[in-house]
Amino acid sequence: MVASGQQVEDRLVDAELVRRTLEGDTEGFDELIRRYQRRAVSVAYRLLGNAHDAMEVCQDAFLRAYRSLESLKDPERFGPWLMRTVSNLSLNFRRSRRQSTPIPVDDCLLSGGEEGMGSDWMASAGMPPDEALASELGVAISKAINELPEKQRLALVLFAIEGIAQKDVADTLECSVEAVKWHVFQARKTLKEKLADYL
Amino acid sequence: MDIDAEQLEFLMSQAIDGQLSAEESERLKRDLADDADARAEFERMKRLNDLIGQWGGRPAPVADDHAAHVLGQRVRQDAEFAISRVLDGEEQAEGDWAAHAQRDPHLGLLAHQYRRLERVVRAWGSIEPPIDHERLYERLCETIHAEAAGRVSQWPRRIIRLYTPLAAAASLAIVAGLWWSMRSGPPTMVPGPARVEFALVGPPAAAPQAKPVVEFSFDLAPDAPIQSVARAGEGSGVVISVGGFMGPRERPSDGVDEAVF
Repeated sequence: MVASGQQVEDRLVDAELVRRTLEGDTEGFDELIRRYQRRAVSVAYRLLGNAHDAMEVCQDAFLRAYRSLESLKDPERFGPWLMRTVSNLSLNFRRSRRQSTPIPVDDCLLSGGEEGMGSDWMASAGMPPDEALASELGVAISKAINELPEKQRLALVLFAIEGIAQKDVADTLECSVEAVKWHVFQARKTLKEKLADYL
Repeated sequence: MDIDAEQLEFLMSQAIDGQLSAEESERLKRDLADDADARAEFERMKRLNDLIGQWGGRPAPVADDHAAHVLGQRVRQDAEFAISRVLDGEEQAEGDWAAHAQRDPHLGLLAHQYRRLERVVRAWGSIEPPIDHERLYERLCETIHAEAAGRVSQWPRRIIRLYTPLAAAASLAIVAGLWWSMRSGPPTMVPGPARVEFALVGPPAAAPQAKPVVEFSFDLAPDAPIQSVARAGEGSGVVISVGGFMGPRERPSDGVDEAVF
């Protein structure tokens, strides 16, 4: 799979920002945060199921990335490298809710409650907006995804939901692109069975 | 309101499942009345649904059918995998899927379910986490800047932290060396020639008639045999006084022409 022009450009920018950071320019890392914060939080959120834990993992991931930036062999691969860190930390967090020293995150960073996220998203699924059904279906999807085996869950979240390139997902999962396709398929198959009542 | 082909397909699927509201049912009727292709598709879907219903009522495959059943499962899985790859955007998979769909018209419904699942999951995935991203960004930057500042201010401590173990190790090495050398005795020196000095220190002025006294001083190398030779004339009455690390020794030379210590 060949990277698009935009992907190539993004990677070059990442490499330059990594170089600046290593030379002591902390603002270079600020820019890396700017570029990857939303995706990092979103991935952690899909894997953990709540915003508070997602922010904590995200903060830990960026801090670890900064501390070990020198060990990044290919600066152009900062994105997948960071996502691997986020994914691994999220999985560790799930396994033992507090494996590493927690970094406190203020509740004020939450922009609203996690309940009642509305039903607007249903419209993009071709379904008539229905607050009660949206809540029920949202819980059912979240539960079904959380019950998937780890690799299937990661593959589905990173590729099918976050839209990360299969090659990068393969890097994150440390497997082949074909294996990523297979994990995504298995995840879809399981979800189709578990969500049959809503499809 | 116009609806696209996908929405129409969804309405048809819902109609077959008996889940349409009265309003949706009316809308579907209008669309079908205006579109011959849609009517044909709707009829096809209804036939498929009937077939699936009949198939679902069949008894479980018996042993004789086992191979065919396994093969059928395998083919179905291949077809589902092809659908999944089409959803991934893999162009090559579309040919695989078309081949499967041609062989088994039931698979059309399966593809429809997968497409619908994909839309639902993607729509759900588009929900933004309830996070104030601007404030989180500021917090993350603050954390990194604090870490960076900590690195700089920690340089003296880092040096101490780095060199303290080295200094401790060097001290230990010195102490161990000293202990070893003490345990093994003084360091070996290259033996040199023994040196013997003597001086006539007697008789004292107050008693000039007393016997003469010669004082010997030995400076022997550690490994040299403790041996010195003093010669005096037989019967001279000279007293040989020896000092040194062997302690004082005195032996009159009377009758002795060679004293060995």
